[in-house]
Amino acid sequence: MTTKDYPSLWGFGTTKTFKIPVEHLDFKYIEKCADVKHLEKILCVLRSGEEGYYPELTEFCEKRLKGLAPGSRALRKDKPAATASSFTAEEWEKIDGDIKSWVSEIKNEENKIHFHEMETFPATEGNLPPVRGSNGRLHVSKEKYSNSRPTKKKIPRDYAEWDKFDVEKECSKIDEDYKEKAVVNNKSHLSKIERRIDTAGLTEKEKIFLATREKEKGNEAFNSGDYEEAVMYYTRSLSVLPTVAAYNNRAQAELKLQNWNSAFQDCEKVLELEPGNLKALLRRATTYKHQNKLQEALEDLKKVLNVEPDNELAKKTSLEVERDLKNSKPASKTQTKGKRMVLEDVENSEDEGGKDSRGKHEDGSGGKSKTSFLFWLC
Amino acid sequence: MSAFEKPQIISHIQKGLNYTVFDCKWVPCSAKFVTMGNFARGTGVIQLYEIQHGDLKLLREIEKAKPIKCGTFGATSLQQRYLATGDFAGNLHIWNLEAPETPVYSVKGHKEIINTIDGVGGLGIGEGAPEIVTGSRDGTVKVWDPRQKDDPVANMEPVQGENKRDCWTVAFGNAYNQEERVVCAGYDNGDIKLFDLRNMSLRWETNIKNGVCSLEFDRKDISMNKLVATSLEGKFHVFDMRTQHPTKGFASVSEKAHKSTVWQVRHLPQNRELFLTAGGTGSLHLWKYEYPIQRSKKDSEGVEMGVAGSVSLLQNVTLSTQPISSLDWSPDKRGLCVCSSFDQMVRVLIVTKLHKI
Repeated sequence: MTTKDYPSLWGFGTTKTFKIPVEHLDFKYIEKCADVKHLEKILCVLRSGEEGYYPELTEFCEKRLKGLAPGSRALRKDKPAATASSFTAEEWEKIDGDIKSWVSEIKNEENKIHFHEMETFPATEGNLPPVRGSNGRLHVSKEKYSNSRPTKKKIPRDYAEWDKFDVEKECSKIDEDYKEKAVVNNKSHLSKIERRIDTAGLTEKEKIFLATREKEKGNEAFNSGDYEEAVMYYTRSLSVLPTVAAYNNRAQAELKLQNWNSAFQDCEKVLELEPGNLKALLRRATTYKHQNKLQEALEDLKKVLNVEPDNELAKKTSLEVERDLKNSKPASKTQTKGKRMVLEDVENSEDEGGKDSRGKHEDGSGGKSKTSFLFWLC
Repeated sequence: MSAFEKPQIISHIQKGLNYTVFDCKWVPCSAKFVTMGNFARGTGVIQLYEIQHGDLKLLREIEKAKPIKCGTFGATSLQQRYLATGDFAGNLHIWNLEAPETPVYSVKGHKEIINTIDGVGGLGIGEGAPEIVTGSRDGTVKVWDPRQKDDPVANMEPVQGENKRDCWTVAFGNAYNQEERVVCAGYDNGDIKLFDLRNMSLRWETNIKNGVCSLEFDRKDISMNKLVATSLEGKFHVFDMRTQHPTKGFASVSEKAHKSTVWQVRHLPQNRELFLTAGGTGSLHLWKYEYPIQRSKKDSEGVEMGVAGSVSLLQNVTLSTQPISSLDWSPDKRGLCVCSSFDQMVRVLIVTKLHKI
């Protein structure tokens, strides 16, 4: 093919690295080969050029490997960073405009904070816990946790001291003052998170900031399946600033935990703040369904379907509810057993602030942080 | 070209500097960041830049006696925004960038260079007292409270006579209420040590065989969830920190990347499952962590143990031929990022489509 076509290719039976038979460096062989590891090696040899330079074969091999194992490390290539020219004009305008408007927004905000500086400063100082290990002012602050602070021990100075760490002794010691174990209990932290956040002295902006962050923590917990933790963080967020999004998300987490009543309460709160919120209606319908208030469930679902006739979840749920209604020799539940795929979403910060429930609900384009499939026991 | 559904890493603004830059950090609640480094004449420098009209404007340059290795805003309030720095001579300083002539806090914290610094309890991130942790070549890791002069509030050092290891990285975590807090430290020999500040005990240790370049919890202010540790030999490890087995410790997954040292790891402040790693070949890799179906299981004796998830590469780019020395996500704007590299460049990056992941 080129002058780099070494005779070695024909002279020896295998490649230098990996000792692959030379016949394997071949379109037909690669096409049939299904061994990802082997293909990776072939690709590596081809790229190195040690057996000659075959751009088409290399590309072919990459494609084949991509088809078999899209995540293969061998496919990672060094790429330069994207620039404006990597995008269409509209896309770039959007990206660039987004940054520009953020920059001017944050500058405004920054100036405001500076303006407030004098007033807010003392408030933040007052809330702080005492300096670690300084016995002096342990009880100065009146917060209730100051009593439960661990007795101040001498600070261990070296590893040797930690080596002497007697697990059993330590365990019994810990057992005395806390029900905590040396082996960490997965859920133990939940009981130790404050459900409320002290917002004394915070400006409105700071409250929004704080509430948003706690809600994001809730979303992250939700997405990793820690629904109790999610409820906790949504609760914290709500304690700072009640928002539609946080109530709605907490309702979803409560549904996951099958706390139908709590979920119902949260939906009610959302609908109070924002009548006609579709997600809340849908979620309230679910709580009705599980509490066997089928008629009420149907009403909510109808409202949803009036606005969004193509809402899959609403359609599916209403079918189920109707079937339940038919079957209901009062309250006999013959629901489908097993697991059902349910589309759900957790709202992110873009979604909050009570904008009217948008039309595109499930297609992920409405500022959703996440549209995920999760199992939901019916 | 427009069918990009994956996140793209855009090199938005770049600027050459006339000094070696070691660290860069966004100033909270602003479009500004600071860079810290070392002039060729042997002095230290802090520069304050602001994004203006798609370019960087130098707002302030502060020259100090000793080269500055690292800095953090983690222990300051949103109103004050004081920068805490560690320098080559082992000094910990806290600066008011508006009046930087004299530090608002100063202590000769270590005998040798402070390699690494982290802060918690400020900026509304992490409950409890504002604290700074420093790690040094002198082998010690010290925790400081800016309200206490001269002495650290906790000091973690090897016994006399025992080999002291160069501490390369420290990170706060687990600060989900007023009492709980941990410090994780990584050393040149691959040791990772997790110190529980509440009980003042060594809670866990492990060794990842190669020098630990960077450590970070996915979030400092929740019950510890995940810890990423990057190493000298092009690998990083993600530990699931929720379930600690009495003998096996924490479950982890490791991944090869960058084909060279992985200098830095930084989690996206707006989504803890996404993180960037920066490599010795000037490359950046964007990763996503995915949880297993069950995050814990019982071992043969019925003791709870963690199950690690998996990581997938979302995007990678090469920015420079020189190592990337530091990396910082904007806490205020999703996808905005600043990084510095040893070719004396600082770059503002935009990572797109992060909200869709």
